[in-house]
Amino acid sequence: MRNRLKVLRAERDWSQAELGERLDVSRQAINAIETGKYDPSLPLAFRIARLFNLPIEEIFDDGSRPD
Amino acid sequence: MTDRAQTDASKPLSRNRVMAGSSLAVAVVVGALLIARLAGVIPAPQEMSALGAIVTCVLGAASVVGFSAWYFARTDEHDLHANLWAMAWSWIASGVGTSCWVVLHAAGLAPVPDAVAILLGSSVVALATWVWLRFR
Repeated sequence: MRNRLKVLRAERDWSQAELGERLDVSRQAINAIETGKYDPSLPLAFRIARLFNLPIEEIFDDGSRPD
Repeated sequence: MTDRAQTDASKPLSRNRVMAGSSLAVAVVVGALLIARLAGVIPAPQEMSALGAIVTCVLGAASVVGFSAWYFARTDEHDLHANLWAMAWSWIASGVGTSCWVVLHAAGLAPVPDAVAILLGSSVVALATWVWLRFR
C-alpha cells in the first residue's frame, strides 16, 4: 500500500524517531510503513490520520481509488 | 541542572526504549546464567538434585511465559508482527526439521534426533526472521 507519510513527515521537519515517539511506535516501524514494507493496523492508521489532521484515504492509497 | 536536563530526566521513557531495555536486561541475565554454568557455579542438569531440577524448570518456565506475556502486551504492532512471523517460521522449521531427521535416522542416514539441536535450529530461524522483518 502506498502512502504519503514520508512527505507529511518531511513537511513538518520531523525525523522518523520523532514521528515514532508521537505515534508510540518504533523508528523501524515508521521506516517500514514509509517504504511500504509494513501496512499499519486500522487503529495506528487512525492515529496517523489524527496526528496529521487528514482523512486516512489522503494518507494511504491501496491503488483501487478511481482517478 | 538545566531546564532541559530536568525535562529529559523527568520525561517517561518511550515504549520503544522500555522494550529494548527490558530485552537487553533479559539477554544480560541469560548471558550471566550461561557464564555461571560454564564457570561451574551452576551445576549441570545431570548433577542437579530432583528438587533443584523441579525448581529450575518451574522458575524457567514462569520467567519465559511471564516475560513473553508482558512483552507482547506492550510492544508496538510492527515488532509484534515480526515476532508472530518469527514464531510461525520457527514452528515450521522445528516440524520439518524433526520429521526429516526422524525419517533420515530410520533410513540409517542420520544419528538419533537431538531435541536440543532442533530447538537451537528453530531458535536461529526465529531470530533470523525477526531481525529481517524488524530491521530490513
